[in-house]
Amino acid sequence: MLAEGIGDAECVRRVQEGDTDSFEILVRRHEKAVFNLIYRLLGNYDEAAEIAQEVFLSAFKSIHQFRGEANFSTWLYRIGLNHASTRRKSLHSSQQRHIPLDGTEVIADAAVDPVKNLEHKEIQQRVQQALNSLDPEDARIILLRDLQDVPYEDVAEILDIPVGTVKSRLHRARQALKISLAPYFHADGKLL
Amino acid sequence: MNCAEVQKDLSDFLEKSVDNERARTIEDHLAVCSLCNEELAGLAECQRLVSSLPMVEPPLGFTSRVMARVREAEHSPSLWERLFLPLRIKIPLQAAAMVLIAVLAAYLYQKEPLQHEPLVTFQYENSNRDSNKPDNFVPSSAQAPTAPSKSKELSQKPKPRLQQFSDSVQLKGPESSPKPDEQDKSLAGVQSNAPETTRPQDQVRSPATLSSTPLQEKSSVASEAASRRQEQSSSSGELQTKGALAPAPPPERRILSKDAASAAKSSFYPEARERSAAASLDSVRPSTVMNMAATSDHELAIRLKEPLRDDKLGEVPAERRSSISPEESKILDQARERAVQTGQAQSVVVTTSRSQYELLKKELADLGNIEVESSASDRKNEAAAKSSDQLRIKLTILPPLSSIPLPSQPASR
Repeated sequence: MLAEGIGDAECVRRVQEGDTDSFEILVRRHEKAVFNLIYRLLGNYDEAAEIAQEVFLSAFKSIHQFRGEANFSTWLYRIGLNHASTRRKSLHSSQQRHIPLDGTEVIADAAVDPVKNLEHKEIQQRVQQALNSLDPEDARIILLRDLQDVPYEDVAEILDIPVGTVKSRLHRARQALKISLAPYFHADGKLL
Repeated sequence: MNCAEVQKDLSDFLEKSVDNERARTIEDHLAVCSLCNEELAGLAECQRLVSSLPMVEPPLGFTSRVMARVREAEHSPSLWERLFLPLRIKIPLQAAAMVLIAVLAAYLYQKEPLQHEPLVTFQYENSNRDSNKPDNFVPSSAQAPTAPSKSKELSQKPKPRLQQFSDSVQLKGPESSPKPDEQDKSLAGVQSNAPETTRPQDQVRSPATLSSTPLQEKSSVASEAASRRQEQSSSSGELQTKGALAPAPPPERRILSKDAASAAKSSFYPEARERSAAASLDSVRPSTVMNMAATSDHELAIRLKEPLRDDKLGEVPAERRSSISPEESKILDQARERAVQTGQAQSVVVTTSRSQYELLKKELADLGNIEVESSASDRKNEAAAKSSDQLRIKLTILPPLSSIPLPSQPASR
């Protein structure tokens, strides 16, 4: 029986002592966040699933190097971003990147209004396309801060840059995203 | 505050991460600037759009697949782990291996100088000779443990190496030399019993004999011609150079030469000449090798080039040899001429400085090919040798192949 109530630090300690089952707790706890971060960075569901597996496997293999000085999630995000960035480069070079239009997006109120559902889906695809077109550094910082709601300090630690740099780079990334989405904006700043 | 300054802080303003005074300044500017208002609305919309992206569920069975791979990786140690873990086992093992290698290397290093001692020669056991058993002829360094002799000494435990050496030296004394009658007897035994292709010295070889020159291995086959030439040279006189002439081969060498003659008897003409050439080199080896430690620091054996028609090419005038004195150079030329005329090896001893040794070799290379080069300096002599800059070098001048008389079949056969 897995002790789901224990914290990340305790789980990590157990894994480091040889309790592999405790790693499953960590996987279940962080798989969604890691998967979505990678998915939004790559824009491909299957690729994201494969890379997310590699991320957890890498984390397990190198968990003895984790000293608990940062949050486990921060450490895991860093591994995830490294894997995803590498994959994104190879996908970009082979021009195989594409936006999934296979209905994998989950719309909370899809059943309410089919027209609105379609609009939401189109907007999400445009946003995803805009993210894909961004510089990887800009995409990473926007996703960490605006999608995952990671605090500035943790973003700085994940990206290994000062907090002030995080702020300025985030502003620059948002401006780039805004420019990318500009054709779809109304005059009042709302997306078409 | 202008628009550029305001727009730089709009993202922080949106995040509410600017101080109050700064926030009031921005609000005042936004109240009067529609451009900055649009910028702020656009940034806010981007932030909202990204944060409103739905969270996608990972594929079904994601956790189980991850854990399956984790458990698979858990049971297959990495290359690093295979090489270095667990350290408590690998480190002592690797340390023990290092110590073992170091001890072995030190042992081999200490053993190596003995292999270069100039005692490598064949010894004939005169006191235990059985004329019907050519097996008595064995390498001196291997005779104690391996030679199938009838002697009681040989049936005893193997002697220490140094003692073997001293024994071998004693065997070469006059009291141990075989009498001519005994030589003939043993010669008859060798001729009648010894097979032509299988020789005892080929069967029993010590590590010391392995370091000898390849030409030594031919000695038992082809030394008859050498012994014959030595007999001739004793009648015609030998070149005297500083009292160091090639002495006549000891009686045991002549016995061996008879054995070689039986092998040469059935050989073809070119092969016989080649064996004779080897014999001419080998005939000087036993004595020079044994004496070299006491009389010279190096030994060189030079095979003279084939003389041309005018017999001028290859001759080096005495004044052109700068590595040795003119007197020694003259003596060297005389020895060379005698070697060509008689077809016999000639030996001279020259003295040169250590720095001139390589030059001497180059100059000697004009005379012919240096077939043997060996040093007699062992560890004991090395210190004394280093204290003196002078080298005593024993030169053995071997006649050209064409000057060597072919082995003739003995009349008795």
